[in-house]
Amino acid sequence: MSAAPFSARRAIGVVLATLLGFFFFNALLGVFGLSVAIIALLLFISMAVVIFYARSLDRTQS
Amino acid sequence: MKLDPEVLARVQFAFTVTFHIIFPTMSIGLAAFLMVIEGLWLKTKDPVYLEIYRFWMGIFAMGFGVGVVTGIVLSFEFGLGFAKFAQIAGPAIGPSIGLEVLTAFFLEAGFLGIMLFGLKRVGPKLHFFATCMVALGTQISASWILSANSWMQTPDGIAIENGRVVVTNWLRVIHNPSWLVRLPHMLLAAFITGSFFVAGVGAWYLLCGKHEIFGRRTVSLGLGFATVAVACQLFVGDLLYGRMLHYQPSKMQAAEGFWEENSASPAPYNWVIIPDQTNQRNRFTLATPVLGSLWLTHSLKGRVAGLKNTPRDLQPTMGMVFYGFHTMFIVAILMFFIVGVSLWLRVQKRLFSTRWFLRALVIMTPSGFIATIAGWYTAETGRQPWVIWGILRTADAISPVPGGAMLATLIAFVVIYALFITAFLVFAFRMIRRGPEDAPDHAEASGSLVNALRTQVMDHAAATHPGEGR
Repeated sequence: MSAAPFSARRAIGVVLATLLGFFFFNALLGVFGLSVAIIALLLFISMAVVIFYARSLDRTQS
Repeated sequence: MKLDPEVLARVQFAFTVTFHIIFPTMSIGLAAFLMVIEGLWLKTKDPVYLEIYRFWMGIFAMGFGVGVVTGIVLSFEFGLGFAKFAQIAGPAIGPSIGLEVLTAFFLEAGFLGIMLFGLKRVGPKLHFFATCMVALGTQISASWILSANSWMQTPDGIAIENGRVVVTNWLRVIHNPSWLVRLPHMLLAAFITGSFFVAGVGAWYLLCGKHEIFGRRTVSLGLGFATVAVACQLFVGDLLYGRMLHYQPSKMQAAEGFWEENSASPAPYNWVIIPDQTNQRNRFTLATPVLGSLWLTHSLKGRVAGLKNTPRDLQPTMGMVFYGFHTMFIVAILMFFIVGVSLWLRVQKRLFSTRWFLRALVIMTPSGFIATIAGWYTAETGRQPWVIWGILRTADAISPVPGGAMLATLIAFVVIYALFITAFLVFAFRMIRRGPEDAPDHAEASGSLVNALRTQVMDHAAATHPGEGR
C-alpha cells in the first residue's frame, strides 16, 4: 500500500528537481541576464555546499 | 606525391599539443585536489585522507613528468614548423613563455621533490606548504601560457614595425582582452577534469566492492568539487562566449553552424550539421527550434549571425570549429546532469549505492580530458586562417622546411608519444588496480638500475664497515 504513494512522491520530486536543474542551467548560461546568472551561481553553490555538508559523511550515506 | 609543409606542420603541432594538454590539465586539477586533501588530513588527522593523498600523488607525479617532457617539445616546434611566427611574434610571446619557466617551473621544481619524497622527511606543515606551492606553480604556469595564447587570439599592446611585432605596452600584452576570461575557463576545466577523474576511479572501486571507504570518500569529494566547478564553468563559459563573439565573430559563427548573415527568427539550436564550405550551406541539420535564440542571443526571437558575414578567405573551416565546440558543450551538459543527479542522490542518501550512477561516473572518468581537448580545438581552429588574429596568417608563418622533413619528424613524434601514453596508461592502470592500500609513502623510483645500485652500495658498505649496523 505504501509503495505507490512513495513512488508518486519520488516521481514528483524527480520532476521538480529536473525543472530546477533546467532553470539553473539556463540561468547560469546567462539566458535571464547577467545579474540573474550571478545570483543563480551563488544560489547553486550555496545549495551544493549545504547538501554536501549535511550529507557528505560516508556514515550517513548508503 | 607532393607533401604540403603547411598541412604537415599544423598536423604535427595539433598532434603534439593534443597529447600534451592532457597532462597539464591533469596536473593542475590533481595538484589542487591534493592540496585540499592534505589540508583536510592536517585538520582532521583522518587517515583516509592520507591514504587518498598517497594514492593520487603517484598518478600526479607520473602525469607531471610526462607533461613537462611533452611541453618542452612544443617550444622546439615553433622553430621547426613555425619559424616565421617565432621570428615575428617572439618579442611579444617569448617573454611570457620564458617567465613561465622562471616563475612557475622553478617554483614547482623546487617544491616537487619535497612533495614527492618528503612526507616522512619534513614536518607535515612544511610538506603541506610544498604541496600548496606545487599547486600554485601549476596555476601560474597555466596563466603565462594562457596569456601568450590569448595574445595570439586577441593581440594588444603592440605595433608592427618593418614586419615585426614591437611591444608598446607590456601590461596590455599580458593582460590582453581575452586572457582574464580564458584563464579561469581553463583552470576550471582542469579542476573539473581532476574531479571527474578522481570520482570515476572511486566509483569503480565501489562497483568492484573493494576499498569501500576510500571509494566513498573520493566519490564524495570528487563530486563535491565538480558540482561547484561545473556551475562556475557554465557561467564563465557564457562570459567567454560573449567576449569571443565580440573579438572573433567568425569563430563563434562557425561554432554555431549558421551560414546566412542572419538566421531565422526564432533561431534553432544546431546539434548536428554536415557543412558544405564550398557552397556555404549545410547539407544536413539536426536542430531544436527556438533554443538557438534563447541560448545564443538570450531572447526568444533573436537572430544568430552566420559565417557569410565573414569574407570567404577569412573563414575558418566550419566543421572543425562546430564539432569542437559542440563536443565541449555536450560534455558540459552531461557533467551538469551528473552533478545535479549527485546532489539529488546525496539528499536521498543513495549516492554510493545507486549502481547505474556509479557506472555513469566510471564512463565520465575521461570526460574532462575530452571537453578540454575539444575546447582547445575550438579555440585554435576557430582562429584560422590567422595564427595571430588579424596580424599573421598561418600560411605565412610556416618554416621553409621540406615536407619530407616535417613528415619524418611527425612520424617520430607519433612513435615516441605512443610509447609515452602507453607507459603512462600501463602504470596508471596498474596503480589503480593495486589500490590505495599499496600506495607508497613517497613516489618510488622504479626500475632495476636503482635497486641494483642500491644493493651494490649497501654491499660495499657492509664489506668496508662489517661491524656497523645499517
